[in-house]
Amino acid sequence: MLDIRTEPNDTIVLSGRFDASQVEKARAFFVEISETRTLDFAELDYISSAGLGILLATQKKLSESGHALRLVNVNPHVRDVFHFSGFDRIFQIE
Amino acid sequence: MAPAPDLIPKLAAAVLPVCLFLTALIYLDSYKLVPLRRIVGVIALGGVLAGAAWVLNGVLFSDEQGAHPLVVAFGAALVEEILKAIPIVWLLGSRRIAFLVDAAICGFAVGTGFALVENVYYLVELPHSPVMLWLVRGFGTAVMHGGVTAIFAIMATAFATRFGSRRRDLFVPGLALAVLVHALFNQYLTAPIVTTALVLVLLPPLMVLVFIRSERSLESWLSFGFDVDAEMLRLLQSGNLSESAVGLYLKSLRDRLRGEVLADMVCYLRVRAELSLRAKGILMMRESGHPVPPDPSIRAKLEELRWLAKSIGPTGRLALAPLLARSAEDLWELTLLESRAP
Repeated sequence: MLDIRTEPNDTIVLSGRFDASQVEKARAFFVEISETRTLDFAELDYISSAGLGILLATQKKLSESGHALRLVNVNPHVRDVFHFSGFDRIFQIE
Repeated sequence: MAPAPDLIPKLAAAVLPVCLFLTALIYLDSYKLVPLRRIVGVIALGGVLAGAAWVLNGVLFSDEQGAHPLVVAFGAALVEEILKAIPIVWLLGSRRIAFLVDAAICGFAVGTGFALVENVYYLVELPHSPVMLWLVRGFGTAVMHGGVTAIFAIMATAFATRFGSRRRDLFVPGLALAVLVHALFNQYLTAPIVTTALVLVLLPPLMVLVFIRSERSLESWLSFGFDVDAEMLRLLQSGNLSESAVGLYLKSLRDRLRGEVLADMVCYLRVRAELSLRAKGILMMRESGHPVPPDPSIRAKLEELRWLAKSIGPTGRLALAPLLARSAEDLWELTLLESRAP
């Protein structure tokens, strides 16, 4: 189960599992984003290629208007996945 | 002799349709599976093969031999399709084709090169022929050349995926269909304009169908494979490998393989998972429209993988087989990385 909530400081917190079964829910949320936002991965247990596909599409849409997604609190394994897939060159990871 | 005044429209009719069709196929491929350099090379090779076909057919089916017209029609089609099949067989064998989409593009590109040289040759020979002839040759014959080689490539790839690429007979059904369609087309069983219309009506939906099916299969391979690679990486970095199913399997080999070989097998799994993630990452970035920056670490990792494969030896590689995906697509991804390594 994936939970997406927005903190008072506009940070988007993802918690739970971001897998293929959560794609439609996530797409409906991310399609509304139109400016630079921070995604907090601290409570994210798992992200599959389906979730990464949503983030890539959102990043592409935002980059066309000079905006971007910024990822924070990314755990070492997810950081490795971003690194080895080359996505760390697309996203700003802190 | 002065050039025919309508040479430009004739040339356009003879060469543009097949080029536009190929451009549409390349554009439709959202993952950009075939590098432009390879497409250009394959087109050039198709052109060279048209010259070879002209020489061979001249020797085998000269007028003096008086062969039956049907024998000439099918024989010439067989010679041409065998020649056009050569680049596809090589591309499949060298793992440069793995999906129906890249098979269709490469096949059509061979046919495009073949048709361009053939049409330009005939245009030089028959400069005063009517424009209608070039409309039929451009929209009909040229697109047929691309289409039948694409069909051959698609069928060969589909059979290779299903039955393994080592079987030699996997090329026979595609070749037989390509020769049949080619020979029937050349017979003009109906008016040439009707045959041309048939090609234009039947080929685009067939290609669209192939592209839809191939993209679905690629998406499914990509998403499943990416998650499997990420999981393998997690396992290898977790420090708990020895308690996992993979670890238990490797431990069971301790009596048969030397310790350093087992250590290299673990390294092999890790480098392979890293490279595999990178290849799938490239495809996902392309699909979502992101530019793919060059990665200088790819070359070194590919070299490391080769060194590890050598160190492990054939027995070790055989022992690793149950842990590694070895489909045509998985082997193809290493070729993708090799072509991108700076």
